[in-house]
Amino acid sequence: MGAIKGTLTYTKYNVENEPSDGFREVFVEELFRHRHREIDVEAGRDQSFGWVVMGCPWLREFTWDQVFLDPYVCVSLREDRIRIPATTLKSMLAEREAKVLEETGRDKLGRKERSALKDDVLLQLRRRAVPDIRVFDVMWNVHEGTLRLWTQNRGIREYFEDLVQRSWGIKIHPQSPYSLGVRYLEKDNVDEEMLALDPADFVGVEAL
Amino acid sequence: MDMIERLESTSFLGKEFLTWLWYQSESQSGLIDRGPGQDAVEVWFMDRITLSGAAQSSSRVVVRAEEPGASWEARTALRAGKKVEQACLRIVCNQREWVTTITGERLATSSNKIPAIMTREEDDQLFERFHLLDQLDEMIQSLYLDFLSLRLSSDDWAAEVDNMRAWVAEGSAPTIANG
Repeated sequence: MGAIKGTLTYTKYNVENEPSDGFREVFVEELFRHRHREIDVEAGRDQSFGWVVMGCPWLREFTWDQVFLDPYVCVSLREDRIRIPATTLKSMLAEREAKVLEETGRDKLGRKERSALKDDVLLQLRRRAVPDIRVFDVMWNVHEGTLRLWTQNRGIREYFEDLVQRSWGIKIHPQSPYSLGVRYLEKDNVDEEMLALDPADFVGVEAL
Repeated sequence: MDMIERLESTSFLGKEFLTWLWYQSESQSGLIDRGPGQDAVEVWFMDRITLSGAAQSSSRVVVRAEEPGASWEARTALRAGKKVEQACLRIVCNQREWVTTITGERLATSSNKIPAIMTREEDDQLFERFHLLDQLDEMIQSLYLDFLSLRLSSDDWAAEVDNMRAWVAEGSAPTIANG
């Protein structure tokens, strides 16, 4: 799914402010600071997000020339996620529990012991697992002040909106009937007039 | 009022826009004039249309057909006061064709198909692809702004609502002469 190939489904945003002076250098630094990293399974994580070069999801070094195709800034957000099937975890955990009980001669494990064992089994499984990789392209038209994220998935959108506003120094709002009107309609008091509208009735008599 | 409240309290305009666009498309045999300095566009409703009422809990009517706007189910839903929640549109401008699915609530497009890429160099192809997407967004935006301009003009909008009510009641639109 992406800007270069495949389905053209995206979320469009309006960028509400101009990038600041020296933006290019800061932007490239921020891309690197929030670059994609491998999942840190030793820290108990099963997911990682971060920037990669558009079209090269394994590249995490950025230059302005690499990401800027005038007037578009092009990068990608990569998500790695390890999914351990519930049945696999259940089976492995039961096996480990049985082994511990046999070794210690006990009838059952305490809650804390069982929880620690579960964490350990999860860690072992995550170390062996191959992550699912998803890449979401991002295209920012810096002249028009619009930005596209190649997904409509709510979770990805929320992560992206937070990351961009925190690290790129821009404010973004998803495109909507309201934002389009306020931004582009050349008319006084559009904001107040839109908010004062009531839904129209296209039937005119009591609906069937 | 914060931004989320503003977005939510005006989201009905997206459904009204798509319903108005259906009326415009039918009444002008697909060809919609966008005013001075802008090329006219053809807008055709195709493959699938979803209609729903104002309340979140209201039932949806989904029609899948070659010309869903002509179907009895879609017309009946319209007469029952439902509006277009989502529609698949074919948009033609200067003999180039785009297909998109628009969801009214956020005016979000999905499953977009753009005209064939004409350039050969990889970078140029990417640029052309982006440019064609910008063109699609610009056409939808311009149609929406035409609608919104009319919507905020109380006299013109009242006349348009009368026309639309007649269209809804009759089942098809009176043809409006262009120009």
